[in-house]
Amino acid sequence: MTALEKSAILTNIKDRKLVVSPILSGNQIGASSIDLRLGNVFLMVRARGLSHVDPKQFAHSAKSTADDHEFEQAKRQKHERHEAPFGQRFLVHPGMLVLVPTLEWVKLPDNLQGTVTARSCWAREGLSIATASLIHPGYAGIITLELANLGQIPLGLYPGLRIAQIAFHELTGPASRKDMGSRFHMAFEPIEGNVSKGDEVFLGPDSRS
Amino acid sequence: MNPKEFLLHECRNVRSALREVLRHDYSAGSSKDFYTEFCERLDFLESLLKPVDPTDIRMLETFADEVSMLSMFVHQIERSHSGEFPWPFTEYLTELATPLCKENLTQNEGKPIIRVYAEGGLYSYKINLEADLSVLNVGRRIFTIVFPRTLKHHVLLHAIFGHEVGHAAWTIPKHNSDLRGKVLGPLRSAGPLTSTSQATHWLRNAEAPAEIEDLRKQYEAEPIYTVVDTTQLSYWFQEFMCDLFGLVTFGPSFIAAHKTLLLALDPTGHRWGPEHPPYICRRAMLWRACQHLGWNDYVKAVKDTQLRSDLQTFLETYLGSNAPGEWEDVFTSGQIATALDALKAILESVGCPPYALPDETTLLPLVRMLSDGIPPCGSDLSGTVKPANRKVDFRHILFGGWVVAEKPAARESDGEEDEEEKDQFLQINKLCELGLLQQRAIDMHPAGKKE
Amino acid sequence: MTLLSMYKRDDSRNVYRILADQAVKYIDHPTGGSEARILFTNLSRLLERYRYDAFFSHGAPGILEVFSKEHRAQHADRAEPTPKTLDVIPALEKAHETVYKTLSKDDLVQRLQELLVTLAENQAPGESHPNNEIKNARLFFVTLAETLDERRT
Repeated sequence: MTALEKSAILTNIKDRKLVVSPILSGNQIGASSIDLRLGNVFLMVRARGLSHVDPKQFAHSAKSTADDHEFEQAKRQKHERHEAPFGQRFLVHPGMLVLVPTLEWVKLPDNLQGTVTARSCWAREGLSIATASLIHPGYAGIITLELANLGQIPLGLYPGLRIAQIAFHELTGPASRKDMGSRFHMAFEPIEGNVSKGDEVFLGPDSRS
Repeated sequence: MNPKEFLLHECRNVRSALREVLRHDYSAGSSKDFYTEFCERLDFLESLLKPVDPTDIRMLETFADEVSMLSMFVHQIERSHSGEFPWPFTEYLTELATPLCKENLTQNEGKPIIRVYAEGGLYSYKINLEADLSVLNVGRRIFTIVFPRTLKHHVLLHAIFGHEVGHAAWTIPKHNSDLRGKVLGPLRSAGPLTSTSQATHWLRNAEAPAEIEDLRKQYEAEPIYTVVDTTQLSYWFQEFMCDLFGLVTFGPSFIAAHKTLLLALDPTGHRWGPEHPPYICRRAMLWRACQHLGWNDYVKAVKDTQLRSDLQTFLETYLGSNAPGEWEDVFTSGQIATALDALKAILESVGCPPYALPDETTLLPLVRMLSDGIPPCGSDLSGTVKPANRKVDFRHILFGGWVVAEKPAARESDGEEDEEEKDQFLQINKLCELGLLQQRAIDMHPAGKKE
Repeated sequence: MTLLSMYKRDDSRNVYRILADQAVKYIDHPTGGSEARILFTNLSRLLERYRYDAFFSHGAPGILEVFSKEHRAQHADRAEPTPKTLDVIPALEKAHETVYKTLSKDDLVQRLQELLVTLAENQAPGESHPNNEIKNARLFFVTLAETLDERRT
């Protein structure tokens, strides 16, 4: 897998194979990555929302409206959602995990994969992107960042700040269409994942599916 | 507790509720304005109420109304926290409308305080600028923008606010005078609606479409629908005027939103009421207005064949290709042209230029971005070292959205989409909503920006 | 319910009588502050309406609100400016005629608004306005208040 350097990144953008939009300034484009900015939605886990994360909650197959209500309520109450216009600060306290979108819309061709990491200046303040996010080929949408404050003091975040960076790696061959998921899935804001998808068989005999 | 004591007690309750309102998040810096304003209103009210004789019923009645209005406003402000309405669109709308709604008072008092909230129901689109004559204690007026909650993301439909801006402008005395004289004057000078008796006769006219005749028969028992009085005619003309307002402030997006929303609520297009004329008359007026504004020539001049075809489709869908029928064609081209020119002059006089159709080099990239599933904005996608992003009028983004919304779905289903992903109209709206947010960032950022 | 679907009594006559009375008190004893500002802002608004003859009814419904059955039921008998609102107009005309007969509406409003701004900004009006101007303004508001009071009875 080859990492793309600056001119290769720009060539892919110029050829409309790769989209990162908008790039507000030239200094966002580094030697082998593009800086990404914070979007304006913050999803944080509500401490009083759930007692614990149980994969069985995700293994949902609604058998009734009551069933559906329980599932939807648990899903919606798990996170608090805050929308912050430009100029408004959001504090990330020590130990807090918050899901945020990037300002940029990213679209990858079927032969490129993206890797997202935190910018080192923020990492030194204690801000971590909890996992090195892998953006699969064919992806289209904002990128969800899982931000965690590993420091001792709260961090003030403002929409628009450069917070992460994305590097691009060329695959040995184009990804197959069926491996990339629906062509029409476009991510507009962070949503929670499904930790049990495909693994329901391991959740015990009384799992919902 | 006597009435005066109760009213003073309620003033204290309102003050307490005002403090509670500060628990929520509002857009940056905005809570200070309304907090200060309402504290001052309460101070003023209490200073007048305290010396009132507890037996002075007339005064107490007046103050009961004032306290009630304050309480209602504070409650509405409590609902205006971020998250339930599209704030990038709101910021653009506010920039558009504020110069029009500035009062001729002292520097600070003239500027309204903007509040936004979401309300349930399709009918909820509304702008209200405090304009009640009988209010005692208003410093800066509250300018309230109301969105239907379920249509939060539907920025293409929000172009309907152009009509509502017209209602807000009506409440500024100088604009009211100009609108009555220079816009409504020409519209009322000729045609079948020049007087109440002529308007009543027009409704009963044998030339009226069969649908009108059927509705008149349904309404026979309700004179309010079959006899046009002065008030009704006045409201009808305000609606016509505000439709023209929508056209000159939002352009083609307004036409599309207008048809989509009004026909959703009245699919016949023929219903009228004490406060609104039949849709077909409004469309006829807008058809002529667009002729005067040269939209057909604009489309013909587009060089890109696909874009030209898309624009043609857009015009045919939302305006129709044929001239309006005779009955509903209540204004001449001359009347509309005079009214439009006066309206544009009013906008220009307050530094609010009327909407100008985008040139091809602006519109085409927006349409292409949308067709490629990319949020449309002035983003430079050319892959240069120093991106040269452009300032793009937010209304061009909406226009581009409507053009693409009318195209058949470019992509076949692969069977894996969920319901939201299949909904092309929703997807285009969401892309445009995100485009507006990104355009806001482009407008704010100094680097590499060009007009 | 949206704002204007709520019922409110029209109390223009009483409201402007109160404000006119307060204006006289403030001219006699200028104290400034936010209360003065609100008082004179509301009077300035009234004068603006008088200048442009803009005594319209309270605002129209939203563009889609008119299709709502609930709205139609509540507002079947809406009217243009109510009698109490219209009472304010002849009261203003009488005060205009009594005190500033030779001035046009524009000049009257301009002159009064300048004085109101001075008072609202807690400046002693005598520093920037001659005595007879202050006297005339006072008489204007006295006449306005008295006429509005008479029209009630």
